[in-house]
Amino acid sequence: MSSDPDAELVVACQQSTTPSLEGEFRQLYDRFKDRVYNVCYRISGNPTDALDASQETFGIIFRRVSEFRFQSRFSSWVYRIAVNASIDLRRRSRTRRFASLDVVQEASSEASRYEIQDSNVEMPSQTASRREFEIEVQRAIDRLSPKLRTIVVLRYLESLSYEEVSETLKVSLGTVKSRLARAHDALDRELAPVLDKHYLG
Amino acid sequence: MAWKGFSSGEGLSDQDRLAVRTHLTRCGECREWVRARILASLPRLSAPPELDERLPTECGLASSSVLALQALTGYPAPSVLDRLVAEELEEPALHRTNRFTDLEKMRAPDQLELALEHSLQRSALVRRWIPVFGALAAASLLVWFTAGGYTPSGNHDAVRPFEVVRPKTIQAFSPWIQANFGALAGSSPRSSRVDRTLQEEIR
Repeated sequence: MSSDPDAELVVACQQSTTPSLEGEFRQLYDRFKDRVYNVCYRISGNPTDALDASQETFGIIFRRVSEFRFQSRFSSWVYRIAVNASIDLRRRSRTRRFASLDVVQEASSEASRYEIQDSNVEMPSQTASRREFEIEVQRAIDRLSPKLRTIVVLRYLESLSYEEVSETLKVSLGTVKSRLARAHDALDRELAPVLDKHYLG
Repeated sequence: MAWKGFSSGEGLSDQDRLAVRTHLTRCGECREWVRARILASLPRLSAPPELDERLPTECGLASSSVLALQALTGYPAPSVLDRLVAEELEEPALHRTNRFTDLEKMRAPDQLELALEHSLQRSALVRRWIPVFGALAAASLLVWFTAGGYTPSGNHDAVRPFEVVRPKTIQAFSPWIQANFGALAGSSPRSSRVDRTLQEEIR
């Protein structure tokens, strides 16, 4: 795919004779690590699983980048691997997660690592309220089914177009639209209390 | 923050809030706008540094720390090792003995002398008083024997402080003992059966 912005780097990776974490692969990793981690975090719902899924994703990319044939955008391929790794991991660790309150604590502590891009200084109460809000929105996402969660994350958090979502998930455009419609209904139900609490008082 | 602009319901009356809720249930476009706004307000996360550390293992490659360890230059063996090995091969016992006799002689600490002195003083004190206590004990025993504290005799009846009675009938006992016999037998001491039994037993 000629319009792929990552094509040049990927080709360089494929042409690399010795497998190494330096050079081209390091560039590729630096380019995608935050995107991959974000997708993994929003789908898995906690930092521990997000880290595991991200690690798995880059392991797969490293081992199989030479097999990539540019039938889709490289980023779509990466997203697909990250989505599958996160869903698999979440499925595997579901029992553990439900049995532990660590998830809530981890989510709270993770909120403190968020990068605040606003230059305005916030009051502590505003910061606490924002964290609470973020945790509640994440919980609303967590309550969606894996398919709907994935499509919401890709569409709204990663800002992928319908076509890119379709390419990433290897489903038709119609399926993307119908899934998004179902996701909206579910999400509106889940977000209604958040809206009431944080916006409408 | 992006959502700060409408993050608070302050300033809205109850009527306004109700109107917003009602409108949102009817207007899909506004719902979509609010939904997108809420989701977009979630912050972008940075991949944690742990991911960098895990990557080499996941990719089956040596980590930078392993590479750093591998790059460490080895230390050369000290020159004394040559001599020790040569001695060990030549005549081990002799050289080992020489090595030990060359060891620095240690001097006993002053505390040892003091402790020893105290110990000897205590022993001398004990040794001085043992014969005195022995003599006193022997003298006490001698005085006691002399004063008749002990009377060796084969006839024990002679020194008994009570009289031995061997009655032939129950009536020969005192009334108090007769009453006890009756109580033990569960009947009146006047009972002839009890009397007979007791008499037989006594006999």
